[in-house]
Amino acid sequence: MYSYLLGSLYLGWALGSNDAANVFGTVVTSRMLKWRTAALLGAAFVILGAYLEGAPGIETLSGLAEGQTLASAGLLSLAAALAVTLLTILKLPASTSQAVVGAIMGMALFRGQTVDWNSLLKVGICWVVTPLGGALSAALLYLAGRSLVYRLRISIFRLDGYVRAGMILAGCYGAFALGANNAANVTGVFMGTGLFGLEGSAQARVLALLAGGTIALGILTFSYRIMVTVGRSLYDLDPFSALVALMAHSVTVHSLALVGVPVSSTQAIIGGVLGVVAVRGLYKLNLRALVMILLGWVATPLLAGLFALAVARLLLPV
Amino acid sequence: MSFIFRKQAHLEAGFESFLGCVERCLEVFLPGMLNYLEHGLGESFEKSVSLAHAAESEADDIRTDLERTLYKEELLPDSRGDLLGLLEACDKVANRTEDVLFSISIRRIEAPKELREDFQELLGKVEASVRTLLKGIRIFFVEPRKVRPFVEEVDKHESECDHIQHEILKKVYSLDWHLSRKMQVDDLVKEIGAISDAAEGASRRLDITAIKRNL
Repeated sequence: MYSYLLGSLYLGWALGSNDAANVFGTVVTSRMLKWRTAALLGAAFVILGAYLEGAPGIETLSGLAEGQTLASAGLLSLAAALAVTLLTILKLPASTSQAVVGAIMGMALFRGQTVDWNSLLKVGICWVVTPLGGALSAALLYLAGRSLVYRLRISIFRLDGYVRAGMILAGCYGAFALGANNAANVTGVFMGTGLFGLEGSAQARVLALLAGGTIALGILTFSYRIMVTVGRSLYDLDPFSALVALMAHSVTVHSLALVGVPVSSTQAIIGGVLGVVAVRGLYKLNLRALVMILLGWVATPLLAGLFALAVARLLLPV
Repeated sequence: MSFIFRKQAHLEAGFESFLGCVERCLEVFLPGMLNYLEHGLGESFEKSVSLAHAAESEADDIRTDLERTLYKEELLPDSRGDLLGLLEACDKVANRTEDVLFSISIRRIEAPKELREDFQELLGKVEASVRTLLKGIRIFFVEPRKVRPFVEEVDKHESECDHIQHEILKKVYSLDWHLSRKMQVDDLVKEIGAISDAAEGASRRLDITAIKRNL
């Protein structure tokens, strides 16, 4: 029975190994923290976030995936995991949240279920809000932070101290937000399947904890290389801007976790970076980043939906 | 909060001591040179040489201590590199002041009293370029965005130094001196000019560092 969880566990592990980079990449690349320390902090806060605030997202996804059996939930997680893996191999943007929603739609299509359009609309709006919210909050945070630094005439030595401490705190907060927001992607589809013999909020808590655990495992085992890669690209910004982008990411992802919609942590950080860059007038609009986000909104759910349809046709009775 | 920022406060104080030392090098160098131009070599000049050496050694010690501290303390790696570069560039200014006095003392260069006023003008511009640099660095520590006018001013003083140097050299080679003396004074003029060159080098470094730190 627990073998149905394999797709989900893989999804959680992949999510942890990829998305930890968004929150601790800069800290590790700039050698403020050793990877081991960052990974331990990340793992702990992801579990905490998932356990304390992962339930609303799980409820939203379970609303979308109502009436799943253990087998269909397991297969749609597997389809989402396959889609994310394929897109990652093809070096295309892959959001776990969007893959899971796409797979749920594919499975609903196979089972001839009606789609909960209201929930889907809420999810879709939040996807668009993620990068926009990241950009807007980054722009506001940057302007407020800069004005504070100017007004208080904070010395560069002290500012370094604040940024350093802020990076570590924002990283922990980001990991908490990641756990709270993305736990639903990992195990949310099993809500209502009777797994572990539990129901309601007790089941949501256990599923959230399990999701947090697998994301944490991904962080602890396989996040180093991606952290360094993502960290370097973020570190191209000055440390203050990188801190602001990270804070904006964490605030956005956490707010959407409270609303109960799992979103892409990567899109939130891209939004944050674009927001800072726009305020500073450093670069022209990064069209490639925008195309990647748009591709993520369309290609990922589409591919995951097709995979879900395909595996369901192959493995489930019609 | 004060516990967290104790290390940063230590760095702030260290940099201020270092800048104070560079300032002291200049303050020993200038009267030493004026005394030399008026009275030539002698006990009083040699005293200036020892004072300059002591001030420069102190600057070196503080620099070494700061370099170690910069790597140990909790600064961002990017900042460390920039500050180390600035420290090194500033130390060159202090070194150059000592070099001039040492050169005169070792080579027993006869004071070019005929050109005293020209040398005074040159020394005045050297002083202005170094003092402006130090002001710029102090501003940089609290308001990096306000550094640019200081960089421009150092640049202006350095150009003026170049011009004065050129005029002095023309005079040197038109005087009825032995060629060896002309060449010695030629070297001396260039060594004095090297102080403002070093100040300009440091101010360019400051400019880049400030741009990187600008919010």
